[in-house]
Amino acid sequence: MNYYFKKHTLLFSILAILFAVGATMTGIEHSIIWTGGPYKPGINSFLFLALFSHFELLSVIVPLFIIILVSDLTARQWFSDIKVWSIVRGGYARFIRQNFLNIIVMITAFIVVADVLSLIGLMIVSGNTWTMDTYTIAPGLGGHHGPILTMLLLFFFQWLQAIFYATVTFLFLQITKRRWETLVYPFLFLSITPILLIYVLAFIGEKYLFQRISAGLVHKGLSNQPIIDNLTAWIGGSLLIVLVTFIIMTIKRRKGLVR
Amino acid sequence: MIATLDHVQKRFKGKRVLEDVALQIKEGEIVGIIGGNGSGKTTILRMLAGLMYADQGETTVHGKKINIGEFPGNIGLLIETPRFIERLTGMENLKMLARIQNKIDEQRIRETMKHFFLDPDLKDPVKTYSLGMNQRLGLVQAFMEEPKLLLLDEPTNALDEKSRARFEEVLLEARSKGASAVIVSHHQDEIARLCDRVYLIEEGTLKEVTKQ
Repeated sequence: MNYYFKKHTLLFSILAILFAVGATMTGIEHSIIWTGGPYKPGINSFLFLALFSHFELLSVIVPLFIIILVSDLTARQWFSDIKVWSIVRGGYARFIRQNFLNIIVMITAFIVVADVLSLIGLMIVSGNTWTMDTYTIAPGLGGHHGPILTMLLLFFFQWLQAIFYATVTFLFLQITKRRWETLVYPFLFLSITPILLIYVLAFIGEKYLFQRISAGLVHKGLSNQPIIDNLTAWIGGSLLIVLVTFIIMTIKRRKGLVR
Repeated sequence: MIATLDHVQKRFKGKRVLEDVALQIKEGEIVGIIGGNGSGKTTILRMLAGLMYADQGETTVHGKKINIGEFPGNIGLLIETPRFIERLTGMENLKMLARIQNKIDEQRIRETMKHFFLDPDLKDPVKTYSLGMNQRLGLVQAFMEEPKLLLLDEPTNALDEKSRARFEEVLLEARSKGASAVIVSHHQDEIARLCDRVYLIEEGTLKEVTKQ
């Protein structure tokens, strides 16, 4: 682990713990209101409900966590001369590639650590109960996949979603000059864009808005094709943001790489 | 020639900064550029580093034309007041940079830091450094990999007499090993003392001046 990652560890740990606390709170809340039924929800279904349900606070805060992490990892380097000195030594493509790679590694590690801590937290408050019924874990997937595959799919969508938030932060890194801007603007973009979309693209329907897309996985009937919706939204969205970022970077590159 | 600017022109927002600049830097030569604020001195350094491109004319470094997206490599660069990652120590910042080319080991970084009166074992982050320490760290960064071409913008800014003398010593030692340098400075005495040739940039053109 290099020095840069080491200095990042404290923030990473704090956010992972906050994430786990958020997920555990959701678990407590849902354990209390559970009134009986064919399947008592387990810690795995509580976790994914906390992550994907648009009614849960955690699903609103997670984008902010990702923005903070990506900003902390990249902006210090980006707004210092280390950026230019690195480019002069190793080339532009290598610098950008390294940044992307660092972001992907960090996000993957964050999700794994935060999910494991959340499951431990949920285990402490709800006991070691796992839902093996795939329809209970993800009603949107219709119970068509086994429990392991269902959980892997949900983890994958969580990761794709985080990559989308990271690309948005990376885009704002190109057009801002101060660190705080790389925190505030992406969050405003991610929270305001869906509201604008409701009015501008009313014909599309609410179910395709950021906060609603993944909710289709854990709420029955919100979407008929949650896998397609999620893949289209997060991969398509990320590719679009990467394309815009690439265009901005090319324009700036031609103008000159200055601080 | 280690670097050339061949009838280079550059405009910024319609204003012509470089009119018709021609410059040739030979191996082992130190070239000085003086001129007023905004005269285009730093732009010349940026072009030689591959960070900026001419609207017309050609930039060649190490015998290779610099096209968009290409960098000359093997250069040491210090432009404006250096800004490091503030929460890392000086040594950590330098190690991060050294790892990119993997040309030097930690021992070489330590030696270069000591040359510029910096303690490699200092655990304080760069944000606690004085202006002079920061500038010296910037110089270490430029010199540590023994590049063939040094591009230095106001290298002695914020340095005390002792550090200035050390900078001159290190620069002359680099030259004795075959390195070339382009120095931009307001200190005309320093430029005259160190440089083989001195140019004045005025109204977008370079004029060679007689050393006093």
